[in-house]
Amino acid sequence: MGHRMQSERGQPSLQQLREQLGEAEDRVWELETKLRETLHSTSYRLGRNLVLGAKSPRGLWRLPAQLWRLYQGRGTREAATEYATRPAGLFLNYRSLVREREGPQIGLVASRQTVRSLGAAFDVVPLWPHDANEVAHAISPDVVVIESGASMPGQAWSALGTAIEAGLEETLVDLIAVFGRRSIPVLFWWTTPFDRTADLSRVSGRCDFVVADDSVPGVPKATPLSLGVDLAQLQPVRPSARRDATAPVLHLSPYEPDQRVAPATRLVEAALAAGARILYEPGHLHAAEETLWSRDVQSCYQSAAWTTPTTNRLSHRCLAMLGSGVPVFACKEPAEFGEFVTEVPADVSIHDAEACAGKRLDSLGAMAEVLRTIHLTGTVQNRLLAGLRSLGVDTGPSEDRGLGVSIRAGADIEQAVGSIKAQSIRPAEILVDDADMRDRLSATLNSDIPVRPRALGESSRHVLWRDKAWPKTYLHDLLVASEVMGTDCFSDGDGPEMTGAFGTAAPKPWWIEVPVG
Amino acid sequence: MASVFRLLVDATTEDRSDATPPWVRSTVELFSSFDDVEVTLHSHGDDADFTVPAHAVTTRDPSLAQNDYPELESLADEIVELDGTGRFDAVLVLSYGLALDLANTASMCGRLLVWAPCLPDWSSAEAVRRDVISVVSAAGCVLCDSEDLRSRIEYAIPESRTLTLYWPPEPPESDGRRLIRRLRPEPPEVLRGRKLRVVVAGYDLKFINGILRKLALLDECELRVDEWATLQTPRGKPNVALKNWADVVICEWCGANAVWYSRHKRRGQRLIVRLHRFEITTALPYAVELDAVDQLITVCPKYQQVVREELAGLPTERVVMIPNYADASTFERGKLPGAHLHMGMIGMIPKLKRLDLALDILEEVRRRDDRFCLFVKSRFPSEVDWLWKLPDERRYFRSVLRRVQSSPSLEGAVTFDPFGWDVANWLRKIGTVLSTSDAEAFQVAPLEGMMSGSVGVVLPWDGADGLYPEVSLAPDVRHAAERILELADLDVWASRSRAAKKGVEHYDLDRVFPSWAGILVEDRDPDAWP
Repeated sequence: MGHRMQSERGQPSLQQLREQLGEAEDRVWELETKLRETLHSTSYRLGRNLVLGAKSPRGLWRLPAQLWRLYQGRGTREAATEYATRPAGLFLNYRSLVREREGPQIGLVASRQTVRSLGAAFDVVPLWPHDANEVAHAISPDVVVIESGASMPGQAWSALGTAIEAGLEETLVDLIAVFGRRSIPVLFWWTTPFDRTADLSRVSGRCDFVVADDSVPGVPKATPLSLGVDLAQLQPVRPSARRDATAPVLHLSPYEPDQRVAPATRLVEAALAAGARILYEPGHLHAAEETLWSRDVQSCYQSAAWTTPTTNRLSHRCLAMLGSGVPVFACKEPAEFGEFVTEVPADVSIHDAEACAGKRLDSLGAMAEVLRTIHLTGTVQNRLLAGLRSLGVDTGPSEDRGLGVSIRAGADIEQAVGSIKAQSIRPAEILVDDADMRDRLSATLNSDIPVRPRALGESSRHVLWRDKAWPKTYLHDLLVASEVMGTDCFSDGDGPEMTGAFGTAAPKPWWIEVPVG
Repeated sequence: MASVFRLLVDATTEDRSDATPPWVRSTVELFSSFDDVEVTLHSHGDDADFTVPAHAVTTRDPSLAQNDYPELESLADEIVELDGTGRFDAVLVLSYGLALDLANTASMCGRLLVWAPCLPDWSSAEAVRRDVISVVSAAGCVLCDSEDLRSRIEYAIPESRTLTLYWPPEPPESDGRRLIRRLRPEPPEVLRGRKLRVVVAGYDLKFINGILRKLALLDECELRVDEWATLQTPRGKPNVALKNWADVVICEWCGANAVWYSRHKRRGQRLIVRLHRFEITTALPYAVELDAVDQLITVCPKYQQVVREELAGLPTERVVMIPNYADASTFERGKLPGAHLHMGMIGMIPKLKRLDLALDILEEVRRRDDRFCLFVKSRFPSEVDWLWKLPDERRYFRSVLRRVQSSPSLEGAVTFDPFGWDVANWLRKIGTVLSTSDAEAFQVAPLEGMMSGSVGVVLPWDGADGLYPEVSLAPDVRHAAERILELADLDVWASRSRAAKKGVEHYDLDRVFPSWAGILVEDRDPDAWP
């Protein structure tokens, strides 16, 4: 009756496929077992030691000791389970591991309802406690969202944050670290009453940014979130308009002095990528300002500026930069913010916070929209990436990429170097056309960023880029957006500086030069 | 007449305050109210606000001012000296420094009561953690002022299997009694005046550990363990010296241990063998010298019958029953909010545990109420080498796990929690405990679950009836699902939870222990069952 298993169209039936899969898996298991036995057999280990030992004098020197150890351990089966066991996640979540991405992808630690809702708009990879770690290593989402609702009763992450499930918290912290190392932003989304899930602040404090739905009661605006963005308070900023002093665009919650700089840097980058133009910092920064801001952030953000309520020392520079279209980060109290904005000349264009502005996160749909927007603000990068692919360039996995910045005669070296330092995640190198530039850079850099001459072949291919929707895009914008989006980025080299930045895969088979104008 | 339990309470706090903490007051008052407990309060300085109960002895010297407190080391010496004059059954300390000193005093091991809030934060430094572990390991019991602290200690210090107890600010009498029973179990009448040398031989002693802990605390017993590597093999050579030393040998599991001890039993020695279930499917029980076996313990009526039929050479009256047990003081903990929506399954391997049936139940339930979900606490099949080598097992688990990820109604509703000994803690989030096995003798998982206050749902594997409360038995998947759906109503769940607890209280360790103590010296009534 075997033919019954064949469907009418001659396609194998589901049952047949299952059987084939089972047989294939059995075969894999048998081969793995044989491999394990071979690898641990005395003859293999003896042969391997002899071959390796004979390759060099040092190996030869070590050989007797290795052979003695082998003799002593004869008959043992060290690490016998190394190949016998497989992580549980491979069985539980193989669909997440093998399927192709479909548009913007979100790694999601969330309630089942949220998984379903966001799943309608995005390519969602749910992360469950038992397989989160394995899956995390296998995917490269655009953003990872951790929803506090995941810890509520009836959810897989139930009891997260309580003493009985300290292991879950550890799992999540590890997860954040895994994505953090790969520059994938992790967003904590507070959807549950704070007093019921306050313990989660230990987790949220490790995320890159925190989103609080203002319909959620009790989430403190000042503490204990160590770092957060209250997207619920987003307000639109009209070009040349007087700004409402009590309605900050983005709310950067208190920043703890002992917090590492990177999250703040990446937060700013994320905000930029999200289309934000002005950040409000509620004045908790002063203590840390001298030690952190001045040293790291400020030096990084040569193309942007910070102003604080205590000193205002950067205000003038901010204004100057506003005039040139550079985004400004204002660290002022709301009341002072109004005054600050009045100082802005009427002809200065404060960029529209067109992307996320005004969105209230009172529904899952709105949240989905914001996340989509965060992704879509990277359209420039996405288009570039697509352009590269259309040229047949293998852009490779993002974590393998470094950043190459070409600096040519006429460039503002300080600004360019500041821009390069602004991104601290990818390894960067500077490419120059002549020895003179290299000397000047070496004198300025005083850092370990390598400088090398640009090879002729590296300019043979390029992608032209113009974006009408975002005419004045700066190297820094592109760099930070690139880091957030995990794509390659490029500069139009606008203004007096002549710089170009491009992602460099290893090995570096291509480069991009974006013409001015 | 029970002997007096002697408790020493040292009231020295970390800050060396004269004031006696309210918690110490209530504890001293509680134990002083027991006729059979003698409390000695050890303190320096004067606390005018606290009148030591009339029955309690106090060593405190009101003339000493706060500054006259001795250093911790000499304080520890004082306590050891006091202990030397009249040995205390337990010594309660409130200061971590003092606890650390006493933990390093061998004579105090097992008699120290540690007040958990005094422990420092052990997460910051490995050295601190090591010290805390040494204190907790040396303690007879760690008293916690909240279930959360109890959980944190158990999670963070897994090396320690020390008893932890929730100790409220005003502990009720029952808590006091329970603590005393834990620290010094009442010797059953049959053991009084005896001095028994008991050897327990076997591998994987998890089902008998509670009994062993209690036996070890009895003055009437001297206990030694002959741990075997597997059911078939000893660690090294069989321990002849231990065999010769023992008055009584208990063979946990009827494996090669029982075979060896039955063949080498010395004259006058008593040999007790416990057979759980699967051993009867091996050749080992049939190799046991049955004449040498004084008592063969089964854990349920069904397997008593099976053993009588299979081991025909063994007189039927020697095949007795003592049920499995669970320690109520370990499992009785508060449930987390929302636990009534959480189903739990403990152990999913091998396939006879029937994870697929649990999924059937879950699917059926979620068709009508998708708030329910299932937590499975178990080793993963691929982690168990011998199991994963069996093609049938591999195929079964592959298909079940595929179902978990491909069935729309199960998506995100099944969570696999890591295997571990922290079951009591884990059960705090479980409202319903499932038993879906094809075959068991007396599955401990539903028992532990019900003792923790989870509602039991047991599919009718052969022999399940009569073991668990009638109300926990469900004839099939559909009925099981119906029962679970009713639990969505919190009041219904609470009442069933109470009923479940009540239904298994006779399996509490304290209630089962006398049967074990008794069988060490005399034959048990073969029909006796709680």
